[in-house]
Amino acid sequence: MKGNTPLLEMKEISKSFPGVKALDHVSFDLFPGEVHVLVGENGAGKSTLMKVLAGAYPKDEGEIFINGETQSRWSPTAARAQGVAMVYQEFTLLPFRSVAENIFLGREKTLAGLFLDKASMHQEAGKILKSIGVDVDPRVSVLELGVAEQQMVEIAKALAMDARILVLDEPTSALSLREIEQLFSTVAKLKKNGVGIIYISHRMEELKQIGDRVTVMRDGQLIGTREVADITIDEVITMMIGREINELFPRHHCQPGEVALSVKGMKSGKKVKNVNLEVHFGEIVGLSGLVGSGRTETARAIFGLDHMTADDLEILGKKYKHIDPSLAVDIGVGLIPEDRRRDGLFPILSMEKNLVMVCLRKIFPNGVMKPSVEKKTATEYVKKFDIQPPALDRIVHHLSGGNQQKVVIGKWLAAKPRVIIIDEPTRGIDVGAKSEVHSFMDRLANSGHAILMISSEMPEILGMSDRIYVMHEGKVAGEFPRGTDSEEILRCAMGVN
Amino acid sequence: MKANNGKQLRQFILEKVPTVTWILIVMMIYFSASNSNFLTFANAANLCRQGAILLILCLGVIVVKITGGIELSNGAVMSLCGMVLAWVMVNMNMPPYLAIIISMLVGILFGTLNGIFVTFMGIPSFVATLGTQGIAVGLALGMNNGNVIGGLPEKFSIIGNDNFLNIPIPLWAIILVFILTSVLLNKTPFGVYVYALGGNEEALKLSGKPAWLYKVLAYSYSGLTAGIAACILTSRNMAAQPTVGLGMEFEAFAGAVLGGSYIAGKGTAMGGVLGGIFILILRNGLNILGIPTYLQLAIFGTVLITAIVLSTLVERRVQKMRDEEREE
Repeated sequence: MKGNTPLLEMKEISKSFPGVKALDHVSFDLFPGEVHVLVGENGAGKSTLMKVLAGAYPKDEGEIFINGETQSRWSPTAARAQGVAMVYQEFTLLPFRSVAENIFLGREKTLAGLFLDKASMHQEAGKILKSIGVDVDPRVSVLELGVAEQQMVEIAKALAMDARILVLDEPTSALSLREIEQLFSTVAKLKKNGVGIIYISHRMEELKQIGDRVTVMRDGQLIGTREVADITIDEVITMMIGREINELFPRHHCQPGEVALSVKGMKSGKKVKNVNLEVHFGEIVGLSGLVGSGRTETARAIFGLDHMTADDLEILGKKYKHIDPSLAVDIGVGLIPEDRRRDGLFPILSMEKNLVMVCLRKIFPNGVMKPSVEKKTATEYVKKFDIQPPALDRIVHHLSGGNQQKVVIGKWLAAKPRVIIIDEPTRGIDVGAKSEVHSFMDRLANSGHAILMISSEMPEILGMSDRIYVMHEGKVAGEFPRGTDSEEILRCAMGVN
Repeated sequence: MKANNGKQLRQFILEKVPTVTWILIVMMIYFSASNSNFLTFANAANLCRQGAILLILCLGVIVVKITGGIELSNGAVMSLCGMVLAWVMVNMNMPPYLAIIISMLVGILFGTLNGIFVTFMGIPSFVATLGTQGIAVGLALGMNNGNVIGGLPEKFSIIGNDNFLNIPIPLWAIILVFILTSVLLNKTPFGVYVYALGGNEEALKLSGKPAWLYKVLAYSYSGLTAGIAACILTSRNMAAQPTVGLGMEFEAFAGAVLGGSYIAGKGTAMGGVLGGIFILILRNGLNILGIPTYLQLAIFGTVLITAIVLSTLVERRVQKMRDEEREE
């Protein structure tokens, strides 16, 4: 394999977004018939690198070579023309149409340039599917297929476009064991046909099963590329972490009080399979895990946004069989969501309206609003959180990310919750606002609130939490005390041991 | 496998046959039993002539509906096409065949306008087509100061009133438009793209196709059907009336929804026709039973909502059966 010209070579690629260096001189290559596994923590830069490869993001610096030839103009069209195909976690299939129509979407075979040549489309589709060892009738509609089969159709679609570089992004995250085997045998067939495969995965055991080489990324940088045969899983994990915590977290630990929230055997939808957790008053509990492990869904279920069942759900000393958001607010639970622009704010309303939105019923029990009371309440929280500029009539859409996050937190505190679930408290906000948010959380906990904090940032989890739960594939897989090192948490999140 | 046959058959019936078919059959039995005038040749022929316009409009709407859009302008556009058609024949002495082509072009123009508003200006189709409706109504009324245009050439009445091979020409028109729509949707790449627009527009864009173009064309097609319907209607009445299509867009839309495309990316020409027939027969049956007009409106609305709810329930049931099957 070595000595050949690589199918793909990405040299010293850099890419910045405002405030973040997402890729810092990353080099990556791929040979024909090779499975090159790309691993890294959430936010390590894997997706950004793949988006540069697909032409979706323009690169700031660096070069891309295909078959040794430098590519001066790189765009989605150029990427497609050079045989780069992505199979995303979210499928791009038409559910009500046949498999063949999906495989040939945009490149239909026609008779006289006018009419669909369904017979030859079915035949061709059948051939492609057979070549990757998939037994699916090209005539059936995609709706009738299982998730794994749909994924095969996505792969077949890529192959019909003459893909030579195939990116599989977490292809096994939604598959059962048997389906994974099917996928792997397909991957083996593709390798034999000389296709190069970039395989992004969080599952370490898969690395050994199908990978030829592995590249580890961390914080937008290339940490190393190794032969899979020469490296142990432990070494890979060490490469993934290897970061010292250089941020200071203002957590002043205090003695936790009574149990504020207790969940046993909770299930919800497809992502939450078995969650057991407890949060005490005066405590910040971190909920860690990889993207897709069901953390956000757990928060939504506790808050009653999604249907859930639990063996036992106890909030503030009372047992509940069912819960819905309105009840949750009434009994003193607040949910500060992950995507504040979409779920947390009314972007075109003023700061004042946003701040009083949740506590309206509490401050106006008879249902009639008084502007003076509204203003007083809003002012209180603007001062408390030092929201800049302190202009109540400012439309929140125009505030900075950090100030928007303060508005979201403020609006929930105005409703005086005792249990606060906070999902990614500092995502996308600058360092100054970050430490302010952390101080609020510290003070809230020490004044007797119970806080469940979901975070994808390992330093935040380690620095802020008094206790840490780790989720893996919809289950709470482990509980760790403060002071646990990140390696142990990451191993648990990845389901190793 | 054998034990599953009954279940598969049930699933096939629920899935492939539009729900409206069953409701239609029940309704026809009810009307036939209640009044002997319903199931007569005269009534059927009458229905064909009257119904051609609605069915043709339904076939246009269903195409827009499959892309995920809403079409509320075709009633007004049809009125306008009729006015233009009569105007060029009466005031410019244009031969009918040329006038018919112009009528269709006006329809296509307005449909294309809808498409452009929706794709380039990013206006929701509901609002865009409502706006076009206003423009078309205004122009139709303005053309002859709100008056009817009469005195059309004698031979123009052939289209709406004569037979060809013993079949009324409007029925031929339905058959032709039906075949055209069917072929477009099922046998051409355009059809695939129409379904793709409704099913997953992103997928179509990712496959490197100009999604906007096909969306505009879908609206243009609906405009064309309004132009065709205008010819039949004007010929039947031998006059063009500026408000004749008022309310028609609602019936055509309801027909298209009933035909099984209340979900974007789904629907067939057959479904559109069946939905249209459902509306026609309901209206006709209520008339024959002698139910007062105001009550008719209320019943009409109730039956419509019931039919849509039933279709939705069936849809959910099928989905559930499929999920269960997969779990096994």
